[in-house]
Amino acid sequence: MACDIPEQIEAAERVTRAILTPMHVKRGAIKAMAFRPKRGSDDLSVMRSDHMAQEDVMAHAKDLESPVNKLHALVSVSVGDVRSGGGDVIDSRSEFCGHAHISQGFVVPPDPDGAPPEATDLVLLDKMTQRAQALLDKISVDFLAS
Amino acid sequence: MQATPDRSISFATPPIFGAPTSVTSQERAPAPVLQSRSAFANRDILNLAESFHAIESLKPNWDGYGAERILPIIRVNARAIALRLMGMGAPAPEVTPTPDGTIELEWDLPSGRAHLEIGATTFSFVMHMRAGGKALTAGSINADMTRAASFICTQICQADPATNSFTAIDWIFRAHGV
Repeated sequence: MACDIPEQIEAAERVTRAILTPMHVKRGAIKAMAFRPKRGSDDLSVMRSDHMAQEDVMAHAKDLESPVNKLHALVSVSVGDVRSGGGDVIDSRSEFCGHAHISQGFVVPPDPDGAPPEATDLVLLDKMTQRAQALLDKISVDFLAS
Repeated sequence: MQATPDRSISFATPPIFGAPTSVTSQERAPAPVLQSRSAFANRDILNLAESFHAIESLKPNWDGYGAERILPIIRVNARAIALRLMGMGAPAPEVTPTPDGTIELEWDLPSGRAHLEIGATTFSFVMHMRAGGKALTAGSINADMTRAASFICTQICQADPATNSFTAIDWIFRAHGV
């Protein structure tokens, strides 16, 4: 089935990320770690919720649940806020119609087993942490009853 | 004069970087009171112990996006380093597992925000000062942590080291099975 969501993502659009672990929640607030991708990647999955029915957003979020994690919250942020922080939001409809990912435009290299972090890795890791931290001031959160 | 029962609890100092020591019946005695710390600080330590306990039960993909499991050695390292820094006067950190399978200790302080990430053999530390500037260090846990702990403490330690009871904090951790 064709995806009728425009590929171009406007700054005013909001995207939504599902939070599936209590480890990313601290006293009613979301932790920056919820916005940190794994090292070696630059993809943070989000949904283009402005273009999706609410039940579809919830259904895709629920699809991520497993025996080891449950949906705890839906976090929304505007694309403009992501971009003003130096990142971008890129449509990735090959996953499903409405899927996108936040990209910070750089990758923190994976940590080679046992090797101390390279200085450049540390700077990049810090940059990624700061980007994630900055997003916390911009998000809105819907906590879901367990 | 009636002899006062000896309620003191003695601990062998646990290894900072090694296998956790076994818990003896003596160590299961009532928790010592942290004489110089407020109830709020005690609650922070309890929260910390509970965080480590929760991390212990995480399975692979615990965040729903493919996060790595947290290896026991990493939890042991993080616990030991948190304990060591708190024994030097650092406040209780916020503990968060990372999607890479490491553990981050975080301090949000009036002077700035500090992140200490701990892996199986390595660590990295960054402190962002509110006044501007940052301090960074990284290295091998076995080879560099002693030096780094002093450096990190100059950035984050607030309390007089004497007010943080190493053994009492360790007892609370052990009482929570971490």
